[in-house]
Amino acid sequence: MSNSKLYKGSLTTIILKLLNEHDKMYGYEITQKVKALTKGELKITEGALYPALHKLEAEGLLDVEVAKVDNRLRKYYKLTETGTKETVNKLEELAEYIKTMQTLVNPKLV
Amino acid sequence: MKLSEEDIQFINTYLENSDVVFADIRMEMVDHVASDIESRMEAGDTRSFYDVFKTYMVENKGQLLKDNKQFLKSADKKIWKAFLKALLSPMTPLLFLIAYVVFYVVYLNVGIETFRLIISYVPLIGLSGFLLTYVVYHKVKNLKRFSVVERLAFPFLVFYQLPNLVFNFSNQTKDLRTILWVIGFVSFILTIKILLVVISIELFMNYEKRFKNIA
Repeated sequence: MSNSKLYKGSLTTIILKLLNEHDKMYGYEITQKVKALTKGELKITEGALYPALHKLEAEGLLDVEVAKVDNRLRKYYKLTETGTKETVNKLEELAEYIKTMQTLVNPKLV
Repeated sequence: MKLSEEDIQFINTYLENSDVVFADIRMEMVDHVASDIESRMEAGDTRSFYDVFKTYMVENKGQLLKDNKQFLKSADKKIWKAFLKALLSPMTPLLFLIAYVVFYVVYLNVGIETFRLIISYVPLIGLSGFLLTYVVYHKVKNLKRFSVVERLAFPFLVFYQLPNLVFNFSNQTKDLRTILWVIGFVSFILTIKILLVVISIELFMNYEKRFKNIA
């Protein structure tokens, strides 16, 4: 991720959330979706995205499907049952984190 | 605009020459690079494929190869997870028990010197099992080199070397109690080796299934 180290800790949650909203996605698609949703504010680099995806796969949160698309093989990721449950936990954690940060940074808003 | 088969092959060869040797890692990188180049060309970049590719690599090669290293860590994690799962399965104590009984019966029937000779071949049995599986899938079935499978060679080598230390240590003993411990240890090593061979076969089958009809 090029923009900020602050986003780094939330990368897993971002990936899980996107996969929760889509049946399956491939790596490049995830980077483009994030870029589009944040209007270019957040750019996920290959060096950050794929290790995160592979880690989630190794932990059993993601399942993989390979298909031939446009003369090449494409690896699609989708959530496993455990992954779907973990997404809920991660989103709750993130919401809690944002709330806490809000309290610290801008107490008047809370 | 979609890249041609030759363009894809070019990216694949370039990455292979950049030490991305495992097909499963390279496959994903090829798709990412190709998708990005296509996207640039669709957005109005009128240069040739090679020029756009060169620009992409100048900007992103470091990031791509970083992923290669990280992938191997995840591969190791997958192996240990599969190994732990196999170790905790009900088959494991059963395998150990069978191996223990067989070795004990052999010891009672052949005498200590022949028994030592027999158990010295145990580490080799497991290693041969892995090599045989590897040759069948890699050479006969023509599957490409996959990261997780090749990383399995490391635990195989560890459990190949480990018994030699114990054998050297217990080589002179004729004490029954020590011999029973040696039998236990050899049975444990053999059990681990069998589990590793089973994991290798499962991984190969998984890759074969995943890449079936799309090679």
